[in-house]
Amino acid sequence: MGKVKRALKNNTDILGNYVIAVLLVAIISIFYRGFGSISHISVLLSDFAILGFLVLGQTFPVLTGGIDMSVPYMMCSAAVVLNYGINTVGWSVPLAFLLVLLGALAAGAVSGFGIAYLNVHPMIMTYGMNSILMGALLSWTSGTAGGFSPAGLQAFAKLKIGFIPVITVVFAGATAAFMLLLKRSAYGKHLYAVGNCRRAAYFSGVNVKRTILIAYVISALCSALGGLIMSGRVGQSYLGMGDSYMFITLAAVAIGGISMNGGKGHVVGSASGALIITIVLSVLTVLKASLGVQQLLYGVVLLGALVLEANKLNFGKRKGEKT
Amino acid sequence: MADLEIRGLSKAFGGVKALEQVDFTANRGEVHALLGENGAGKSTLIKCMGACQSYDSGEIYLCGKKLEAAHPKQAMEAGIGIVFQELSLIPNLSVADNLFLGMNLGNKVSVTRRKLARERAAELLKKYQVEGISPDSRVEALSLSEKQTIEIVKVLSRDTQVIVFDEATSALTANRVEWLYQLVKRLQQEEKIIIFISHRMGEIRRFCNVVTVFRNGRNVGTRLLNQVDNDQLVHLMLGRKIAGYYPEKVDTHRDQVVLETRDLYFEHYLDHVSLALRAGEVVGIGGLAGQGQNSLLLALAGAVKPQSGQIFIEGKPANLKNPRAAMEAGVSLVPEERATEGLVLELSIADNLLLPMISTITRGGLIDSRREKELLRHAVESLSIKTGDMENPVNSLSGGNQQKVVLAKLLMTHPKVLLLYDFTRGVDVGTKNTMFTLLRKLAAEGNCILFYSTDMEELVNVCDRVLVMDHGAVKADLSGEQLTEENILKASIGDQVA
Amino acid sequence: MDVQKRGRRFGGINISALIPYFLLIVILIIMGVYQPGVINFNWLNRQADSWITLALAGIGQTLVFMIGGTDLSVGGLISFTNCLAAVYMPESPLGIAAFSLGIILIGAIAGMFNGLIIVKFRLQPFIATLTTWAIWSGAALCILSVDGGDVPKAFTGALLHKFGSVKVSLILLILLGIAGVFFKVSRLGIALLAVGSNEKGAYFGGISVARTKIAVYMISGTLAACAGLFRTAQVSSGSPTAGDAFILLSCAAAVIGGCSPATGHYSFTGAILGAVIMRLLTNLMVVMGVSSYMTSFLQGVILILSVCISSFTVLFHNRKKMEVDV
Repeated sequence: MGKVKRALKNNTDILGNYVIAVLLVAIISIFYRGFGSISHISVLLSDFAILGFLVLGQTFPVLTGGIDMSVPYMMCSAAVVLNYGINTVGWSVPLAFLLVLLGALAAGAVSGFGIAYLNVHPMIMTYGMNSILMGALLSWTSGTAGGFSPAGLQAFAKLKIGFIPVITVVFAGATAAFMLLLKRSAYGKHLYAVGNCRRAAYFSGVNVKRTILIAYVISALCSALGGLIMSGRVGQSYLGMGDSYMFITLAAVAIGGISMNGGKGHVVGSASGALIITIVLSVLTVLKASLGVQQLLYGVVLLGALVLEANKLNFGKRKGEKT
Repeated sequence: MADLEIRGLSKAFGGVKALEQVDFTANRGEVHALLGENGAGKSTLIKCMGACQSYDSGEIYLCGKKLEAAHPKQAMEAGIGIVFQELSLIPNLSVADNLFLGMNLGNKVSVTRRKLARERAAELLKKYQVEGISPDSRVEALSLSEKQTIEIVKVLSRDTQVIVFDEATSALTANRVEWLYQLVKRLQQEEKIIIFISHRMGEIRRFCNVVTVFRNGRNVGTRLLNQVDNDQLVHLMLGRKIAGYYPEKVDTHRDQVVLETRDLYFEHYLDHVSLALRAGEVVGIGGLAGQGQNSLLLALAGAVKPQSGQIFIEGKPANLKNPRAAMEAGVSLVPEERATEGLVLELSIADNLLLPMISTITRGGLIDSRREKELLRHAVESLSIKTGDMENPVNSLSGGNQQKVVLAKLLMTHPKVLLLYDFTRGVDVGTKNTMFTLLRKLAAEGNCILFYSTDMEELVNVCDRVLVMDHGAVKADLSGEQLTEENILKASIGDQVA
Repeated sequence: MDVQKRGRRFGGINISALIPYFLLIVILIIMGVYQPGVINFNWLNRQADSWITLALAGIGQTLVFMIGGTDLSVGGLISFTNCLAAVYMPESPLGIAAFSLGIILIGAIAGMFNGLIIVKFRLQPFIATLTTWAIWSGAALCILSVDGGDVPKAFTGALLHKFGSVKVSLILLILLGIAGVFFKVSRLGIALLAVGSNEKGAYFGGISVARTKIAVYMISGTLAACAGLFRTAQVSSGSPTAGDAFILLSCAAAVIGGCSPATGHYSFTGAILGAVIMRLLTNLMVVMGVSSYMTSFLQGVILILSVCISSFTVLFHNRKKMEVDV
C-alpha cells in the first residue's frame, strides 16, 4: 500500500488538475444551461479523447527535452491522406489505414533520426518536417481536402457506450498502456534517464540516440491517430484542421506537469492537462472567445507553467552550489 | 597589516570542504609560491580572490581595504588580476579583441575602435616583448603556449596590484618560460604582489622567494624558500597520514592479460599509450591533473575514440564504439562527474542501479519485478548501501552512498575491467575503507581494476602498481619498492625517480 | 615543449561563409537560363521589397543563433506589428512617423522581454520564444481575425519610395550590409561572439553575459518589427498569419547565410544573401513550373539540409577535441 500512497503524494498537482476539471464543469454549469449536461459531457469526453491522443504523443518528445512542432500537419496529413486515398485514388480502407500509419511512422522516424543522429535541433527538425508534410500533402492532393471520412471510421468515432464515447475508452486504455510503458518497461526507464541527464544515461550504457528516435516515432503515430479520429468525428478532413494544435498540445503538456527540460512527468499528468484544456476550450466557445484570445491564452498558460517550474528549480538549487 | 591579507576563508562544495579557515598573507615585491597536491585548495583560493567563486565565510583585504567584489570584473577593478589555468580567452576572437575584452577603449565608434584596439594591442605586445604573435590572428589558430602568453599579457595590461599565475608555466614553451621569468622579475621591481602556482619545484625555486603550502584545504605553513629544502616541502605537502583505513595489499595478480592497449593516440590528449592490465591486479594512474588520465579512461570505456591505436580485451581486438559496447565487452567506467555522468540524480536509487541492466530483465516487454527485486537486494547487500527506501531519488543519499550506487550499478554488469575516475573524491573515510576493501576483493576474484586518483596516498596504499602520466604519455610504471608518494610526485613533475 | 602544432592557419578561411555566394550564383545562372534577360536593374528593384522583410528577420535570427539561442517570436511579432499598423495607423505624416517609431519600440520591448525571461528563468530559448510567439500571434488575431485593414497612402509611399530609380528597400539592404561590418567590431558585437563561443570565459573576462543576451534579443525584436512595417507597406493590408512563414524562412536564411556559433563566423551580408536565396528559390520554382504547393515542402527540406550541413561543419571543427559526444 505504501506504493499507492507515494504515487498519490508525488502527484498531488495532477490530482488537483482532475479536481479542478470537475469543479470547472460544475461551476460553469451553474451559469450556462446545457453546460455540464449529460450530452455536453459526452461531447467534452470525445473532444478530450482527440486532444488526448495528440497530447500523449507530444509527451514523449518533451520527456526527452525536445519538442514536436510537426503535430499540426502530422494529424492533418493523416486524415487527408486517408480520405483522399480512399475517395480519390481508390485505395481499399484497410490499405489506406496501413499506408497512413506507415507514413506517420516514417515521418516520425525521419524527424527522430535527424534529431538524435544528425544533431539537428528538435525545433528546427520538427518545424521543418511540418513544412515538408504540408508541402507534400498540398502537392499530392492539389490542395483539395480529401473529402468525407470512411463510414466505418465515422461510426467508430461517434460510437458510445451509454453516454461515454468509445474513443474516450480507447484513449483511457492507451493512456494506461503508455503509463505502463513509461514506468514498467526498459524503454520507459531509458527515456527518463535520457530526459534527465543524457550524459549519465550514455555512461550507463543506454542507447541514447535510439531512445530519442523512438520518442518521435511515438509522437508521430499518436498525432496521426488523433487526426484520424478527429476526421471520423467531424465526418471529413480539411486543410488546416491541426493548425492550432501545436500550441494546444504544448500548453496541455505543461499544465500536466511535464517539464519542458525533459525527464519529469508522465502521461496521466499530460492527460489531465488535456482534460483541463478541453474544458477551457469549451468554455471559450460558450463565451464566444475569438481564436486570438485562445491563442493568447495558450501562450500565457505555457509561459506561466514554465516560470513556475523555473522558480521551483531555483528554489531547490539555492541550497546547493551553483558555479 | 600585510598588503594582501586573507582571514578565515572557508568554502565548501556540497559537503566537501575545499577551503577551511584559510589565513594567508602576501606582500609587495615578493613572489609568493602556492604549493600543494591537486585538490589542496590553491585554485579555489584564487577563484575566491578573483570573485569567480563565492565563499562561505572569511574576508579578503587588499592594501587594508576590504574586497567586496561580486563579479570578476569588479575584482579586477579592485586590483586583482588572475592568469587562469583553464584559459579564459575567446577562441573565435582576434588577439586584439581578446586583450581588450570587456574594456572601454574610450567613446569610439566601431571601426575606429577596432583600429584603436589593434594599435593598442600591438603596443602592448611590444611593451611586453612578445614577438611572433599578430594582434589580428584568431586566438583559435594560436598554439597553446601562445594562448597562454596572450592570457598573461591580457591580465598584465589591466595593471592590477595583485597578479596571480595559476600554473601559467605548464603550457609555455621553454623560451616563453624564460620570458615570463624576466617579466616576473620586472613586476617584482615594480612592487606588485605576485602569486605563483606551479607544481614544478625547479621553477618555484627560480621564480619565487616565499612559499605557502596547502593540504586538504588548509594553509599548513609559509616558509622562505632559501630556508627550506625540497624534501621538507614534499613532507609538508603530503603531511603525516593516518594509517589504518587501507586494506592489506595482497598480491592476487594472475598472468593472464585482460586488457591491452597498443599506441593509443589522440593529438594533444594521448601520446602513444601502450599498457597491459592483468587479471587480479589493481593498477593506479597518477600524475598532475589533466595529463591525459581522463582521456585514457574515456577511450577505454568507449566514450571517445582515439585517432589511432588498438584495444585488446582478453587478447581479441575490441571495437568499443560506445560505453554500452564497452560494458558488453566487460569494461565499465565510474566516470569523473558523479552528478552528471555517474548518476541520474532525479531518478530513484532503484532506477539508477538497474539502468545498465534493465533491458535484460524484461519479460513480455515489461520489467520482471521478481528479478528486479532480487538484483536490487543483491546490489544493496554486496556494498552495504544505506538506502532507506529504494524509491527515493538517488540525490537524497550522501556522497559516499551515491558513489556506492554508481559502483554497484556497474558491478551488476559483471565487468572484467573496472575503470575508476577519482571515485573517492568527496567520500568520507569510512566509505573509502569499504570501497578499497571491495576493490581488493574484486581483484582477488580475478577482476582487473584501473584506478585514477589525485590522491597519491591512496594510489600508494591501494594499488599494486602505478602508472604516472604526463602530457598524455605514460612516463613511469612504479611498483614494489619504487611505489612511494615521493616517487609519484617526482615522476609527475618531471624529476628522475630514484 | 610546444604541445600544439601550428596547422590551423587555413582554419582562418571559412568555407561555409562562401556557400551563400556560391548558391546565389548557381540560382542566378539557372534563372538566367530559363528566363534570359529577366535579371536587370528593374528586376532587382522589384525583388528588393520581398528581400528586405526576410533579410531583417534573418539578421535578427542570425544574431540570436550566434549566442546559442533561437527566436521563434519573430513570427508572432511580424504578424502583430503588421496588423497593428494596418488597423490603427493614423493618416497625418507626423502621426505615421510617431506610430512607426512606436511599433519599432514595441518590437524592442518584446525582444527585451524574450531576453529577460530566458536569462532570468533560465528557460530554453526555443520554448521561451515559442510562448511569446503564441502571445503575439494571439494578439494579432485579436486585432484582425481575417486579412484586412487599411494602410495610409503616405506610409506605403514612404517605404516604397524610389530615390531616383533606386528603391528604399534596396538602399536599406546595402546599408544593413554595411552596418553589419560596424556591428561586428562594436563592443556589443565582440561581447556577442564572446558569449556565444565561451560563456564562462566571457564572464571571467568581465563581460555581462545577461545584458549581452538581452540586447541581442532586443535587436531581433526590433528588426522583426521593422520587417512587419515593411510587410504592411508592401501588401497595404494586415494579416494575422503574416509572420508565421517568417519563422522557418528566417532560420533558413540565417543558416544558409553561413552563421556558425561554433566557429564564430557570421555576417549581416551572409544573412541578407540567405534571405535573397530563400526568396529566389521560391521564384525559381515558379519559373521552372514547379507547383506552388511544393514551396513549403522544399523550404522544409532546405532548412533541414542546411542545418545538417552546418552541424557537420561543427563536427569537422571539433574533430580535434577529445570530447564525449552524446
